[in-house]
Amino acid sequence: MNKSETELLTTNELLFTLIGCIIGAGILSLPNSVVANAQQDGWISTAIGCLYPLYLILIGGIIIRTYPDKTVLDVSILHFGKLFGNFLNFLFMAQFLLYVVNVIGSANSMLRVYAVPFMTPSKISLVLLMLIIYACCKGLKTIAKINVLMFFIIVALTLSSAMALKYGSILNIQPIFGSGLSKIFKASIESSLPYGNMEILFVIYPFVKNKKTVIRAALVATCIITFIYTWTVFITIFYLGPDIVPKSLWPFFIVSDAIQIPAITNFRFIFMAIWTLIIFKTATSEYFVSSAIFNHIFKKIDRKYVYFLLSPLILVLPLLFTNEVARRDFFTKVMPWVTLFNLFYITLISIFTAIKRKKVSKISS
Amino acid sequence: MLKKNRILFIIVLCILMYILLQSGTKFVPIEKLDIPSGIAIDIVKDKKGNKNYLVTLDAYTFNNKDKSNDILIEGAGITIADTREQRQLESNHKFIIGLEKVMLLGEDVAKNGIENALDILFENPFMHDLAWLVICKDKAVDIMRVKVSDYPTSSDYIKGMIDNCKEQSFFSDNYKITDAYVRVDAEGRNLVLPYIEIKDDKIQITGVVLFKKDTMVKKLDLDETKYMNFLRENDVSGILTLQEGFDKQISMSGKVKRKVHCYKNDDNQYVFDLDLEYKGDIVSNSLYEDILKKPDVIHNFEESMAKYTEEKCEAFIDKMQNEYEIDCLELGRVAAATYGRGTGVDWNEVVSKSKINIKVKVIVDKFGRGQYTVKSK
Repeated sequence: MNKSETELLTTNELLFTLIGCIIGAGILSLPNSVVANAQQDGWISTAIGCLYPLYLILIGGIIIRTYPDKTVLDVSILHFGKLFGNFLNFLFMAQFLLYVVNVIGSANSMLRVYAVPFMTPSKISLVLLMLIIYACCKGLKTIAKINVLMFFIIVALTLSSAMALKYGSILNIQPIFGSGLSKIFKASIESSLPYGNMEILFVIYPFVKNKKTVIRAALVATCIITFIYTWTVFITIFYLGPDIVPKSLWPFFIVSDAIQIPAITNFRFIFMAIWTLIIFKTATSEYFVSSAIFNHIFKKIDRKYVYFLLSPLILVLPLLFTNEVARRDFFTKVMPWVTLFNLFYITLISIFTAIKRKKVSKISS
Repeated sequence: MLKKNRILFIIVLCILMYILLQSGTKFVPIEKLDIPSGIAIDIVKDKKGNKNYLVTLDAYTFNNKDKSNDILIEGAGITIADTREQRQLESNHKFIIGLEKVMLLGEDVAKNGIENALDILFENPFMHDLAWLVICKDKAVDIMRVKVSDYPTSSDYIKGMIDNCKEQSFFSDNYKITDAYVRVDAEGRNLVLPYIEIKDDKIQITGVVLFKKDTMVKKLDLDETKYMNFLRENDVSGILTLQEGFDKQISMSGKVKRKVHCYKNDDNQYVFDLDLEYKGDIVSNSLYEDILKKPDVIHNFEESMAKYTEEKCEAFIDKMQNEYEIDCLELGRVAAATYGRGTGVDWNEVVSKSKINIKVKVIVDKFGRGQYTVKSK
């Protein structure tokens, strides 16, 4: 990732890119897993889930403030040496690839249920992959611009679900805190999967024009994401009731039934078509970052070849999940480890950075 | 030169993509599809006496250019999905779902439990969840066979009937498939669906059906239906009449708003306070002659109307608690929201044993253009 290659991002573009990376396919199935554990209080669990990205931003803020021009990858090599640093970076890259596999896998099963049952998963993957590689070749600035556009679409779609307020009932979310605090916290761990991906911040922050606004933008992004997630879970419970939400694999789609527009029999299909774009943009951002890290580790390979080099992985791996249930099972088992790794990686580097900064300030004084 | 190659590359790529995506999929013109306007589900017995589902589609045909017609395609099977096989043997088209207007369920299906029917609808991603769910007397197919003049199918007519039943008798519009999803398996809620039958060679709504979980328990007649709806629904409209002899009556047309409050009394018994506010216009009046002149007559009328309605409602609640033993007013839902969910309480039982206080408030809003029966002397 060379600065001469890409133009620098504005603060707003960083904000929308972070939102775009995090909100993807997970939001549609989020109410299912959360409500299964926390019943009518699922929306509280979702709001609590924002602690994970908040922690990453606050502790990672040390790195951002100390090395505003270096990515976390450089800092990792700086502290741990080339071998161990690159090893950690490789794991860091692997998780983004895993996210891409997750997004494409869920897009596959969702699109084949709701939109294109006549297509095979490999065809859907191929089409998505070609679009992703094309967008990646255009660089970070273009991806940021896509994310800005998509942000408004996400907001429009989630807010349009407010029409369900007319049909649901406040009785569905009462009694508040009725399911018990332990269940609420257990469910909030479930929601760490959709909140994952804030790590992308540590790879792209050197490419922002105004470095001082990075942390503030990340915090604002977290607030907006938390609001959108909480609203989604809230409106789904409000509309369907806690007993019905876990019955659907993608409960948020049922809420789209409440959106009644004259002359349109079924808004669900329009909703689905637009959501495909949102999935595409999330996968693009994740793929871009993972190939950027790959490029950072293996500097000799040209960037454009990296996109093609990694593509077989994300073409084949999503196909290995035989069905949606298997995919969810796999990711609910794997995600806690990924989350733990991220916490470990960012915290470790932050601690080392803090120690080093102290030493430097001692010497200079 | 390079640019030329690039354009060529893109064109070739597009063609290759098209061929790739096109292969293996078939496209059929709309005239060659069975598009059902309504679906009827019944239970029939086969020759050996086993129960079978009979699913009938009422599909449009487009062979006549001036007028669309309909054709019934029947299929029987052990499960609802199985019936697709037999239906295809009779049909000359492919069948798609997603544009149906009504689902007609036979009385046998409702009594047997509609969970299987709901499940197959819920799993199908192309299902149009806003179609109406209606219970039919005897066999649903018989109602589907009725020809309504100027309508392509009887389902189109029934759709209009249910669309507009909310205008009177305090019917709501909560009879869609989605409404069944959110009621059948939810805690403290019970499904109510309209009941239609053929009477005097016409299709008519003759009441509603009460469900306990997914099973039909009781069919209410129109008079009971009216007061059940009055107590159950919020923001629905209808007519209330006070009568003293044939020529002396007063009618009001208006909307009722409902508020429920739940608490426990000293005996640990659930108490439900139902506050009903009925606000409307006087549409016909020959009972109170001075109503336009004296405000206290209005007040007098409001009170006696409220009292009369309360009596009627109490009579229904008495029947509901002692005879039907179903919580068809969805009071359990309010109790669950106040005292916690998932405690394993059977709300039908609790509500049948609890105390229900009704308070009706009648408010006269408008008097129309005036009153003809007022005496000028």
